[in-house]
Amino acid sequence: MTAGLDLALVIALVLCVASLGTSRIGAAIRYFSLQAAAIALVPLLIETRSGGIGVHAWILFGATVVLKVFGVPYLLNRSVREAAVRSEMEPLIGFGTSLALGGGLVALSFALAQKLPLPQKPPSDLLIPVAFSLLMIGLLLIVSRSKAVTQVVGYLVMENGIFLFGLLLIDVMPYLIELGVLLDLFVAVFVMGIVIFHINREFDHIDSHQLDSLKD
Amino acid sequence: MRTALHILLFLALPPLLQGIINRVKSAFAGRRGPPVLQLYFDLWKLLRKSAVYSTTTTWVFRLGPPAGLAALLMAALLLPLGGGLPAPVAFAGDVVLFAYLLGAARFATVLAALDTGSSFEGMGASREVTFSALAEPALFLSIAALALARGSISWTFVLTGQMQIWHIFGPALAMLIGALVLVALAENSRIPFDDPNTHLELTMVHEVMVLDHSGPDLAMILYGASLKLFLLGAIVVRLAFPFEASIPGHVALFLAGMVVFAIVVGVIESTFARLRMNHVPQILIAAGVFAALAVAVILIRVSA
Amino acid sequence: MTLILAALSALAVSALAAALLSRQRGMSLAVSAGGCVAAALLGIPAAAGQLLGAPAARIRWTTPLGAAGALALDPLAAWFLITVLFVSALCALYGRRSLLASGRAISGQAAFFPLIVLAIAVVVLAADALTFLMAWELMTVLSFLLVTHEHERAEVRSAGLLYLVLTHAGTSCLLALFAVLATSSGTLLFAGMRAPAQPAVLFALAAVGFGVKAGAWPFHVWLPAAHPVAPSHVSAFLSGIVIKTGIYGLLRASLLLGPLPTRCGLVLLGLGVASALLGVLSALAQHELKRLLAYHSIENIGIILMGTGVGLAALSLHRPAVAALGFAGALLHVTNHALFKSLLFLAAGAVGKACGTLQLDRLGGLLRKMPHTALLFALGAAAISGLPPLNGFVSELLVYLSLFGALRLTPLAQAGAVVSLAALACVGGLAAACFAKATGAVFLGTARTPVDAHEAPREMLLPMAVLGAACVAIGLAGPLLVRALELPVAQLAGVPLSSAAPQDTLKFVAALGAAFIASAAALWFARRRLLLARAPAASPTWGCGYALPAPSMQYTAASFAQPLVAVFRTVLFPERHALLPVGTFPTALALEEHGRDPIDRFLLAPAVRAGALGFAFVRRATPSRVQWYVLAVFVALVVLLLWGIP
Repeated sequence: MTAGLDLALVIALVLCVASLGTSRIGAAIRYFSLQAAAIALVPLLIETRSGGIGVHAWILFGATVVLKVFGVPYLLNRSVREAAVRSEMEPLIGFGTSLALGGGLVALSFALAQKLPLPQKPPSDLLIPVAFSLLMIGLLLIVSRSKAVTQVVGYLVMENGIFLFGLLLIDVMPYLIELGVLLDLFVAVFVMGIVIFHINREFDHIDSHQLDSLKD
Repeated sequence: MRTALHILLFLALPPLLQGIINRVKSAFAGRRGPPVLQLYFDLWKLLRKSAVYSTTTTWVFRLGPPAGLAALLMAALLLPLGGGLPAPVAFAGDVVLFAYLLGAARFATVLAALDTGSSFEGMGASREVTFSALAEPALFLSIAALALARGSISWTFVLTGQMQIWHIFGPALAMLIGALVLVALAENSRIPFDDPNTHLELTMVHEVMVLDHSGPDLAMILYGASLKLFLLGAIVVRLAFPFEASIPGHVALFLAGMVVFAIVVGVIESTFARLRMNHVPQILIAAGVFAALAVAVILIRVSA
Repeated sequence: MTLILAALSALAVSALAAALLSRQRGMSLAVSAGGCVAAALLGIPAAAGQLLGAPAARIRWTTPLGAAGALALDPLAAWFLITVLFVSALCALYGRRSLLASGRAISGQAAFFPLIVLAIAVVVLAADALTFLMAWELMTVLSFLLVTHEHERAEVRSAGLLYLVLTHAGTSCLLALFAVLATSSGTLLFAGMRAPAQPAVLFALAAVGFGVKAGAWPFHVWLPAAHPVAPSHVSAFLSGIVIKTGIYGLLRASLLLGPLPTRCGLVLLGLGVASALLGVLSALAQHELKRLLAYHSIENIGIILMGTGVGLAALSLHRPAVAALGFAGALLHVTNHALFKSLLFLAAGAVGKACGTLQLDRLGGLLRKMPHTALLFALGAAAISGLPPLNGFVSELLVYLSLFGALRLTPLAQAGAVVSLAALACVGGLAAACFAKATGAVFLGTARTPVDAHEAPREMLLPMAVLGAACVAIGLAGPLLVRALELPVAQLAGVPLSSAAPQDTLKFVAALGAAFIASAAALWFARRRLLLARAPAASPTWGCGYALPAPSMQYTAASFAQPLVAVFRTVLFPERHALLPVGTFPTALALEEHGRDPIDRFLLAPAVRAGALGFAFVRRATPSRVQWYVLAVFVALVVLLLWGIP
């Protein structure tokens, strides 16, 4: 059903923009988790349009749910607890400005999506714009935030966007790539968690400003 | 039968060579000198004596003399005395085995010397390995020249031939013999590389390495040293006088050649002084250069 | 092939099990050693069967991205595989005991060792470029991890970094080589590769890439840095096996590139001569046992390269008999060196563990306290000096035979052969000198500093004894070696080894070797008999009547090597620091001489300094926050996207 697919995509987009505006890290992680749940539904909804949900789609759904809805947020929360981080400070460009920029980027991605020459019609008109927006907002989070945990969340949001792009080729792209992407994501977050934790052992903050002083 | 004669000659003759050299040196010094068979008497006396072993030494010291002598005996099996008396063992590449057997004998002696924990032996060992490391290239370049000239790398083929060889490879052969004489003198620690008569640290190479050996060990060492001189001398003699004759005549001519070689060594020892230690590498490299020049000349001659 | 696969899986399983069991050191190390031994027991018979005439086995698969992959066991691979599995099993057994006794955390050593053996086995068996390069990279990274076991020490870290950087510089050449080969033949499989018209450039790339790994001069700088800092069984493995993969790669590349011009072989011969001479000369100047052994590895790689160079040159001049001898010498020396160098490193490790130092001028007289280690070290020393009746002589003899054969080729080859003969002879003498120095300084005489040493435990002696026995066995094996080398040499030279007729030579060498041992024994017993009636007396070493002999009066290792170092000072650049006596009653005296590797001093260090200076401005100009970099990437991507869309 196109309607269900569009709904899931819109929910993901809204949650993404919301995580731009929140100052609490726990909230950002929760938004990411819900967003991942929405993204996880997308493969199932795409299949129902063309008739019959395949095993491949169920596996993607299951893997995404386990890893991105439960696994990764659990790891992030654990890192945050161990690092004893409280709320975010002001981002480098201010909450208001980042929300405005985020909105601008969403508009940009809708515009770009119209122009892209695609080989076949995507399952939904919203798929490409939302994927682009997730990508760009993820990058924006990385660039504009100082706390390392939020940057990790931004990276994860980018991964969601890439995942959506990959779904375009759900018939052609073999299994291995999807699972590879998910696995590498899992490993990346795990490593980042450890890094943050160890950084916290040596320094008092997991603040990238402080990390700058490592430079010569 | 020929093999038995060959082995007999190689076993019995070496100490005689030493005796002749000593007689020549004494003649130059105006003395009568020891009897020509003196070394035989010395060996007999030493074999009947007991031995004194240093408390510092271990089985390495006791292994040195037997291993050294065994290596030299194996090397003796590879050298022919001419077409009439071929070597008991001959194969392509036995030139290399010959050189490395000499190296094995040297290694055993050097380790035995280091085992005593004395600075004298250490000094002698250090100089011995230096000189022989520098003499090896000269030896192998000579072998390469001979391989090119005779087309074989087995002593049996290289050392057989007729006097015509001088016509074909005259100058090169002379250079080769010069290089090989220098190598023989260096390997056997004779003047101008070392003075076998003195026992002062300034002049000792081989003599000081064997300072702590006594009794049967010293007998083996002395006999081995004379055997080594005999082997290298035999190569020089066969190269310089490549004659062929019936067996009795052959043996007589060979003995005459060895006597001439011994006299020449005696003359060199009496007329030259020992070189300064720093100059020894230079003269060994010069020997190598002689051999290389011989190779070059033979190469041109062969490909022409 | 199934046995080979079983061996590979044994290695993988034991690596995994060792990793999982890493909490229990004993179990973990036992599992890893057991895996290596199992792999050797499974793999060596299969490879030996290949050498005796079994048809070449092959496995193929297709990766998901469409590339083809293959593993193949041909005679060349079989020869190297036997050496790899045999020596690695023995090193693993030794390492198990030495790591257990060391008392510090093993941090992955147990898991990495079977894994690196697996990587090297795959390198040797690989029959397509992708598998080869992946296994090569895995082997490089794992050897770095194994070497930097004691990473808290600064010199260990810097040695590991040097190794990593240099090896990757070589690997980049290999990438270029395989990329060109693959594009010009359209396939990644070795069986289908054809070289383009100018193989000389590709051979140069292969020589650099594999030469760095093998430690050929002038790419050798990492070797003397990495060997002393690694644990002993890792040094033994590095020297015995890992650098041989460079030789294997070179041989395989020469097979892939087809007929090569003569100058390739002659250049390789020249590199071999340089490595051999400079390696042994630098070894003479060393004061630390493991660094000395590392330089000797460079020397022996030089000898192997000489054999390979003559082989390639003779092939290009259509003299396959000479080529067969050269390749036979190179292949046999690969195995021989793996055997005696591992033996020497393991023995050095036992000494280091017992005495706490490997500085030659602090040791001495260890033969009384460590008799078995001393015997095995002396055996290894005699083997590496190429003395009959041991195995080093046989492989050097084959190289000599090939050089003598090369004396009948074109003038350029003749000149090269003459120079190489002189060089090889000099190297033989110098190697014997250096090992007389090492053996004498460590085991003979009296202790120069008081050291409380004890014999190595039996589990460490057993691998060494097996290696020593193998050295003696190969030295006396003669004709059997011709049979074993028949097929690999045929693969490389196009004709079987027996067509060059070395059987007589090797038969007599073996016979004379046995006769040598027998006559030495006979003389020993004859002397025993002679002395039975007159018991020998004991007394202190004669010291010219000096009343108070002291251990410090012995010749040190440095003084033993001094005449040779002085003769060759133009290539060794020794530095001398002396505090000379002043005045009538001088109180302070000191003399110290050491050499720094000329390539390091004149080439590498200045280049690194120039690079650092040149790039200093870049370091100052770069922004500090991560965010700036991500923003730059973002902007670049958006710009590209907008530019790309019509």
